[in-house]
Amino acid sequence: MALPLALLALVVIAALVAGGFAAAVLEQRIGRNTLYAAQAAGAAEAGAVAVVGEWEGHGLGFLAPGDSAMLPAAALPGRTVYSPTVTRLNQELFLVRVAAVRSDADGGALARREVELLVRVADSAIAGGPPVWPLRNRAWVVSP
Amino acid sequence: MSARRGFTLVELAVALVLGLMVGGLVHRMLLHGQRLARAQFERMALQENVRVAALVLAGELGGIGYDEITPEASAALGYPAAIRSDLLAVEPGAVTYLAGRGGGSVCGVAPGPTPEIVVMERSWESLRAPRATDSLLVFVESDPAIGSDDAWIHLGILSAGTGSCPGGEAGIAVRVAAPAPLDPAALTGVTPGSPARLAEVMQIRYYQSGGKSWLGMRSVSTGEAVTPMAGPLADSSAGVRGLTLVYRDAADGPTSDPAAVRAVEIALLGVTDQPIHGRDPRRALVDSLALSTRVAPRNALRP
Repeated sequence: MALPLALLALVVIAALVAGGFAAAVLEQRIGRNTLYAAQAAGAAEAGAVAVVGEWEGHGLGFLAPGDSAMLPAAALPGRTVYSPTVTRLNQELFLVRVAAVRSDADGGALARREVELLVRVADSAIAGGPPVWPLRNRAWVVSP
Repeated sequence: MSARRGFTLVELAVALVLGLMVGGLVHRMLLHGQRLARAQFERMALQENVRVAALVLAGELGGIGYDEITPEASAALGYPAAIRSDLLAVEPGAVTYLAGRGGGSVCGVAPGPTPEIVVMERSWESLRAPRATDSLLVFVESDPAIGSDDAWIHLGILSAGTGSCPGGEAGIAVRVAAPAPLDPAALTGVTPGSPARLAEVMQIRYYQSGGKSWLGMRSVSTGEAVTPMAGPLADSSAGVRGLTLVYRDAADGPTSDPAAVRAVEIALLGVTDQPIHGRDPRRALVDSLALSTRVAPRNALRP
């Protein structure tokens, strides 16, 4: 009688511990994944800003309307890499699309985020200014 | 040696008491285990609910923008100068806004009283096709040499279907109504390649249904009923709100003017669906979880 009861009690306790452990692991993973996603989103936004800042260095002003240029991927601290693509929509507008990946130590993707930014050729009247600037409103495109 | 066999009454009584005690202990342990398992499940569901509510709110409100018809754009288009926020109505428990639903690049415009705008199909990024209840936001560039006269124009969609671009490429043809007093002919100045965005008016609100409070969403454009997204949330009837939205202006002060909103503070208070046995093992109580976050829409006016 005592042995089956003791075994039953052990099974119940083990199930409770396993349940609690599983719940804790799940919460930890969700939290970590949220952090990875935020790091990837931050890298993508940093990449978009960097592309606009280094516009002339990439020679993007020579793109023909409808053409795209894939720029070299750049690594950021914290195992994030962003890869920009710039598409010239027409003579005045460009779409900067940046995909960023947060990887683990082995290079496996943990999170991926993408942002898009609409930029416009700057007014030629402003001497010495930047060659392009983000649209005054609705510059950031929310990907569906 | 005694000839009697079996147990005495005292032995049976002791065995019965011991058996009852062990049985009672096992029953109590099983009951406690069951309560603990249910409490864990309820808490996980609670955390999931509050997290989903925060992510949906942040995702939806993060895309909020504005449209500015500058004096230069007004002069070029014959349309009144104005600044219009995507936030249409702001309340502590509800927000009505113009939500982006994807878009693409314009490849052609057929003039007329109700112009037809053709968007390149390969550029179209949206989870769904345009509907007659949606709006199409089109970027109009009046003078290519200057940026100050650029404007996003809101056009009501009359119909949408397949079409083709001037070069023969597949497109999405959207027939639109120009807002008064804009002359539809002004849309022929939309440069090929210009962005067009699909938008619909949405509302997120805190509401009660079935004796509980929920976070719900509905499309105001289609007039649909509110559908629950997350919950249950804490009940407002008890003087506690499950959702509180605080709108902040450029100086970080509270505002109720949609055009002045630069950030939104979201305070969520979720509750378990069923009472659970938590710290007090004798009483089952509804547990709660509070989560606060703040959203600064990237396309909002600055400062």
